[in-house]
Amino acid sequence: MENPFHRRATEQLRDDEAFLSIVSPQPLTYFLKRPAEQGTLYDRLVLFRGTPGSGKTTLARLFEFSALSAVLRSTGSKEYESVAGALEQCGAIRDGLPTVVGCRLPMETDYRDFWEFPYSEALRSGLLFTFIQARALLAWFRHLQAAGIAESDISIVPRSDSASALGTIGGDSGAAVVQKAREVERAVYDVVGALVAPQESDLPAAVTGTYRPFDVIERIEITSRTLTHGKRLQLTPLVILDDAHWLHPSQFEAVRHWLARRELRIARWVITRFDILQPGEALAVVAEDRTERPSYPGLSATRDVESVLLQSWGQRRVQRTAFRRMARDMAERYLQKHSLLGPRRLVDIGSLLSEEPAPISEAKLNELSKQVAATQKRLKITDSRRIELEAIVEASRKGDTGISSDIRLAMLAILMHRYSKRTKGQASLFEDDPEPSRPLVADPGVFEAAKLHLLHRYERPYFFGADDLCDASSENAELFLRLSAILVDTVATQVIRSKPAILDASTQHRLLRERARRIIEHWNFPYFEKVRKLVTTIATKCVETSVQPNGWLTPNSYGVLQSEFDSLATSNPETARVLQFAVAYNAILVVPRYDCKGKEWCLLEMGGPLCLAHGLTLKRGGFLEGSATEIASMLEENPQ
Amino acid sequence: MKQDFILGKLAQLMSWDTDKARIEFGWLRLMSQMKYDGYQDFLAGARFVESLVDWLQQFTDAERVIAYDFVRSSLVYLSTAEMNHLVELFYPETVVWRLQEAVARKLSIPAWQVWSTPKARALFEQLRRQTLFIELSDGARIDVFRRVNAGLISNEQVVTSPRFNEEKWTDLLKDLRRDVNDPEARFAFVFLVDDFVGSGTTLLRKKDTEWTGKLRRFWDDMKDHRATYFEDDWSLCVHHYVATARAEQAVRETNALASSERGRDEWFHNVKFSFSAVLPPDLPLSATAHGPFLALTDKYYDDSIETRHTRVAGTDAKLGFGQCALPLVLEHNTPNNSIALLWADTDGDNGRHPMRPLFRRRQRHV
Amino acid sequence: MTRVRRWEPCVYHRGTHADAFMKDYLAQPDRSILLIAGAGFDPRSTRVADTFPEKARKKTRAILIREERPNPDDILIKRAVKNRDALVAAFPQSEEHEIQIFASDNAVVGGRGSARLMRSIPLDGVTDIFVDISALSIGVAFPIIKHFHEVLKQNPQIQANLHVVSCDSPVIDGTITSAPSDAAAPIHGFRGGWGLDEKSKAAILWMPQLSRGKGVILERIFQMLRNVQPDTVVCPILPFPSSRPRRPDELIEEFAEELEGAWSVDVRDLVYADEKSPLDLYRTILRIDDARRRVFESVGGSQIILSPLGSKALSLGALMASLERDFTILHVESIGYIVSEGQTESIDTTEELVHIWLDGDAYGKTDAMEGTPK
Repeated sequence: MENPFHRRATEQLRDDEAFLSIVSPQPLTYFLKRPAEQGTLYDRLVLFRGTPGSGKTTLARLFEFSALSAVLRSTGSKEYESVAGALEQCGAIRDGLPTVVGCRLPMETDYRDFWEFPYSEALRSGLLFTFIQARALLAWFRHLQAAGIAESDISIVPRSDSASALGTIGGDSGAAVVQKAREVERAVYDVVGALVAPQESDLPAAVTGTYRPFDVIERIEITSRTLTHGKRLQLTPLVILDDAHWLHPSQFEAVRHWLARRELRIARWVITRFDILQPGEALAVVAEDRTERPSYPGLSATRDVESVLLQSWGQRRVQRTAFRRMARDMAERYLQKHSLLGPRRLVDIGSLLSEEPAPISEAKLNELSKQVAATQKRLKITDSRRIELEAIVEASRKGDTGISSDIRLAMLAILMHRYSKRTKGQASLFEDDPEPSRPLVADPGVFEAAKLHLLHRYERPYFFGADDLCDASSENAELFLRLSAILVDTVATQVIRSKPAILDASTQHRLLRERARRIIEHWNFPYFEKVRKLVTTIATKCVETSVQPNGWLTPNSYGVLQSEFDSLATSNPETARVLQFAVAYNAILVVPRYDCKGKEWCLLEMGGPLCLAHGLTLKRGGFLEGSATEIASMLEENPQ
Repeated sequence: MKQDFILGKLAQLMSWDTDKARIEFGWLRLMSQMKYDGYQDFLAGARFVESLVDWLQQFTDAERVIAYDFVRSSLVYLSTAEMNHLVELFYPETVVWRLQEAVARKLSIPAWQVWSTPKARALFEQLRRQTLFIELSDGARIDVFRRVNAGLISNEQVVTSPRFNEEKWTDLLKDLRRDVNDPEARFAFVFLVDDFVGSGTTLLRKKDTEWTGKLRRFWDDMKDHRATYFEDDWSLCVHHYVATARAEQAVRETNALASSERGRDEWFHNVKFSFSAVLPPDLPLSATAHGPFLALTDKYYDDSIETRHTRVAGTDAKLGFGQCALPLVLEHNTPNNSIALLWADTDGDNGRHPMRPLFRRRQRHV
Repeated sequence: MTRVRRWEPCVYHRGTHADAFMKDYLAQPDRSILLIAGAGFDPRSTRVADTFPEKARKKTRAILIREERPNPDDILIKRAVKNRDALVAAFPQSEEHEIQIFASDNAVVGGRGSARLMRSIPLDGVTDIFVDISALSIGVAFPIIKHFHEVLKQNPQIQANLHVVSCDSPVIDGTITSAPSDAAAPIHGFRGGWGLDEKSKAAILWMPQLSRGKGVILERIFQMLRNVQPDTVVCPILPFPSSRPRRPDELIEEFAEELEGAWSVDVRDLVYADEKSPLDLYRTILRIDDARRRVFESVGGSQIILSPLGSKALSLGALMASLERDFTILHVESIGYIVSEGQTESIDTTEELVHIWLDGDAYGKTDAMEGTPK
């Protein structure tokens, strides 16, 4: 039995068809439609940022020419229609023909090495630019050829002011351009690969020369029998520097300046992981982004550079809804490929995960009810007041299918404590049953707190249903797949054992928490121990607050004043560095500029696995007020 | 998938809950595919998981847990790829070193200088040609050995029967003399090769007052032909791909004893033992580590297997031939030194327990 | 045999043979030795020095390398100082050198730094270079070895022997946990054409060495591989024979998700290598390369990517194969180490010394055995 959930999203890169079959078009439209319509997507430098797993590589991959032409080849296939539509909205396809030829250059290896050379900064950058350009050219040609276009059917259209420079890139014919690029690539590669870098004076001319194809090329022209029916088609070359955070910060700056030049005619995107910058700067980027342009989120256009932040798009609630849709969609595609469930048409993740709550046992309910009675007695609450509070609980859930007795009791206990608090100091000498200072209501917060109380006191299943699964994935497709895999495996096991193909709440709850704990246990990235220490301390504090009898707060975040957070990189670089990796590896989500009680906060929200493992709410917004100093001391304290 | 059906049966048999079933299904699928299904005696449609279900059925509910746990955490199964790898190791790791030492000795140079002069290299190559490889049983995988050493060892150096055959041996000598261009040439090294040695008794043991076993037989065969085929200071090397720790020690000791008892004229002068892999000393099942499972081997036993296999070693065969108590299965056959519960297949006549094998053993007559 | 191989035969020793060789060889009066060794927290730092006879130590020039990583643990520093002091005491002619493994932006620069350092060391009069990799990480050790290997190849007038020694100890390895850095990258000097356009059509075979607890690292390497080359075939290397016969099974179980999922490994793709023999892995890799070269010759060629992890002995096999055939070695550098308390102070009994003679006298004056050119 093969469970495709065990494969990671990015691993569907193997071939274009497999890749396209799992791509969801929503984020594409969400992020790129607007800049495409405004014409900024292909005419200036576009800077993308996203946390790992946020789909940035998938996005880049879609614009590679081979993927694009696979979409076009398969028009009529329903699977691709939505993707094709999205690409059309993003201006990559027009009238059924591609408009761009994209290539993705992963910056992970080789490029950073240039910075280590014992040469002047200008020469080092020059070598880097030369290398990028040679490789981009080769990649464009590779993609075109992979799409069935012969080298001889490809030619270069130079910029009108650069026709005379055509010679420097080998000419305008495909073959010559490729040959030149190959020579240059090899020459630079040999320099990079040498155990000890050659003397500056020994560098071959090929690497220090005037090879600048990005400044020469305007369009790439092709004729293709299959694609264009023999007509000539001009494509905008698009170079995508993926994972550019591997570059040295100075190199990154140099690349940014180089590619931001308006005279360039090729399209150029730079994609980085969130931690591109040194810790402080990296965090600052997210912080800035949040305030800008709510109308098309994630986009901050300066004159020369478009910035797109991939994870934090839109209102967080909107984001959640959209992610749920995308995740369910993705799950369906994966389930279709599942060797056991696919053929049985068990492909809707929602129908595999029961939404039916699992109340606590009769015995526990009795115990709870005794406890509530004891609370009533201890807090000196009259029976009539209790009836009133019960009515409030009842009223709160009107229209609902009704709430189970255990939650009702837990809510009642919370209201009792609130009542007691709000009557404190009132002269009980005169009154047996004082009125609270503020009226009591059983709002969703009380409901949520009651469920958490039952979770922590009685292990009442709290995490279940497809929405919880999606929410616990922190808007991260890869995490979603990892969490889903164990659930899907279990459904399959039940099917083998001739049991129903649906998981009850307690099974889901248990499996999700188990998997989450395993994910956290297996953390292994820079500073992971410190990250673990920090988040464990924060999560523990959140649990302590969540189980307070009056249920006043169910936090899953830690708040630091924005001003304090902004200066973290300088005031406490070590903390900033730890946070950087916590964010980069999805332990923590940063929610900057969060207004609460007249102050501006930056929230460190616990990632999905932490909420699952520690039993924190998946509802957003509740946070513990804290400070940067406190974070620093959490990192210093020795465990136990 | 077809396997899903039998897995469902297994879960039922083992009374697994869904969680346990999920985990075990994963493991069973993986290990059947990566290793166990390759067992040569499995039939189509009844591979590992099917055999496991059949095997477990002979136990009570509680015992099944013990038996399954044994398979899960103690069974050692060597796959075809693993066995073949041990064959691959034989020439470069053992033969080369033996010959290299001999060259060094003959030229009075340190062993590390053997590759530094054409003279030494030539001597090495000559000695290699003067080496014979003799298969002690069909488990020696001499075909694999030939294939991986093609170009280094010629077919005229490989003998597939341990018994002496004058016609064959005369040919071998003729080929050698032609190849090294020396009409007087004889063999300098003989490697006896076999797959597995568990107790060492098949190789050499003393029965009453008489030495017997494969080594003794080889001696008897060759004794009168030594001067014809072998150089005066020839070496006999005995190589096993797998050995138990006990056998590694035992074969050396027994050989030393045989040598001293029989005297210089009645035994080999230079005998060297080598192994591609030696199993750890704590591999045999012990009462302390595997008590509950050993109780099963005791309870589920049919002594009718004794007549056929274990008389030589004396006691019963519950723990396998020679009381080796091995949890070992080789992909082409389960050694009879492994615990009987793993391999024995009996009808259970006369009210005895009909033993069902997990890895059915094919008889290989020695 | 289809091709001549550089190190077949090879002069190498293991266990008691290695100890005996070191003692006899180094006792020769005409040896002038350059020793490159790690002076770190690893208890194996001093193990090879112990095999040097007193007289040989006195005349040995020892280059002691301290690998510097950010924010080291205090316990580790103390241990490193102790080992360093012992080495300095053992070798009167010793020099200490610091190698920064990471640059300030966390980029891996240790390999480049160590190659640069080696170039500054004169080899005049040196008869034997010993690189002791016991306490060096492979990101540093491999470029060092490659540097000397190339120097000797390009300068036949330098009459020095190149030896690599390593003390392998599965128990010690088990007590050291490394925190991997972010980046998967080729070890410096071992790019092997990785990423070149001319290799873009090559059939890629990745041979990761499976090792307990290294799943995260291998996943990082694999993701990077797949990002660059989606059509990667994975043939994992399992230790067999191994001191524990069930170890291959345990590793198969530990890596179940990878084997069945992301890597799609077929049972026939499993590769076995003797846990204790670097030469075995070396031969195995070359044999696979030979077969693939023939198969893929006319369709874009074959490229083998190695990722040695775990046992040092096995990693040497990968090194030798790469030196000979220019394979890519992808690696994730450790950003730091965590040592379980107590156990690392003592040398365990399963440790084994390995000596490999890479270049020089042992193979005669004429380099007739040089591998066939590409």
